Amino acid sequence: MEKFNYIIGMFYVLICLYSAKMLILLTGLNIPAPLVGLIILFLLLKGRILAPQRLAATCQSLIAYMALFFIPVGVGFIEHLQLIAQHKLLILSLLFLLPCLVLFSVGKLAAKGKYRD
Amino acid sequence: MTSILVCILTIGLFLVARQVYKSWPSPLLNPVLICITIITLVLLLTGYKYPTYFQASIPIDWFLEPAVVALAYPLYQQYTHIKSAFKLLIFCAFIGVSVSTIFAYALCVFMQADSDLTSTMMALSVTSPITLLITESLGGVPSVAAAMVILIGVFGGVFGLKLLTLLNISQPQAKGVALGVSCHAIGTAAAMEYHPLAGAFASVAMILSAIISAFWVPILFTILNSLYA
Repeated sequence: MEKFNYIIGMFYVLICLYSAKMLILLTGLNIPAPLVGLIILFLLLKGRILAPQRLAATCQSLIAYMALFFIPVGVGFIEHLQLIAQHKLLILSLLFLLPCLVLFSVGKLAAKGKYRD
Repeated sequence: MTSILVCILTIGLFLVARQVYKSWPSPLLNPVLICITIITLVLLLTGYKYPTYFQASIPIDWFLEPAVVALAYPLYQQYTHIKSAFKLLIFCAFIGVSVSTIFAYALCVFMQADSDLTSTMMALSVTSPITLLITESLGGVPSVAAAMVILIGVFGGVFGLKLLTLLNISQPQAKGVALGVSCHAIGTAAAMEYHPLAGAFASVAMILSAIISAFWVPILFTILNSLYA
């Protein structure tokens, strides 16, 4: 029985994704559908409409290999080497300054929180 | 036929890169970074066209959207554990995403980048699969944004924890949140290695940044555009 959980989980994941696409089509919102699907699935879990065990196998393996799934698009920057070369300085400055700035601001803010261990 | 072969080679390369990363877990040996670099080199050297490669690898690409939906599961699991800090995490992610977008916009304006490039740099405080989606909806160049996000992640994976210690931030939870928001998946991996609590907070912060970015970055981008124009 165990292994069929992958298919059952995928069934629910795809339903959430499709509902999200429909919702976006109907409302005309400019939000990526998979993120709306994420919220739908989260609400279904939180509202105890879906049992987490039904999704565990599928979600865990999809996430474990998520990095693989965006390699095809990721390689696409090859088509834009000229754009990158033209804006080397801007790109390099962003690469260093952006993570430092966000680490600093979020780190300082998060440090104000009181955490129960 | 070609499609199957391209998928076999891409998945095979990824599995090898993952194995290498397991033996030497350094952010510089991040499997995605290695795979994208090697495939890019192969395409450049053989003259194989990218659109042909992409067409052939569509079966792999197809799983990206379901995988993003699947992030709901760890979010739900962590939510039950760290309910008390949830609001703070949402606020931190909101601030982090806003700071990142506003700063990138300002720098683009300052350096007189064209609008294509500016919209490419708007969603850099999220994990790369999400950057692809948001950047596409903003009319930027998704693959360039994804490459930026991966490199930012590598930077954070190498220097993030040292930088946070230098800033006198000591709680593992706060370090995790900062790494998750600013350095996404690679930062989260570094946080997990450092401390389990940091890892848990980082992964939730990363997913919350993704959700907030999807809703907030397009609005913020419109606001910034109307202010500047």
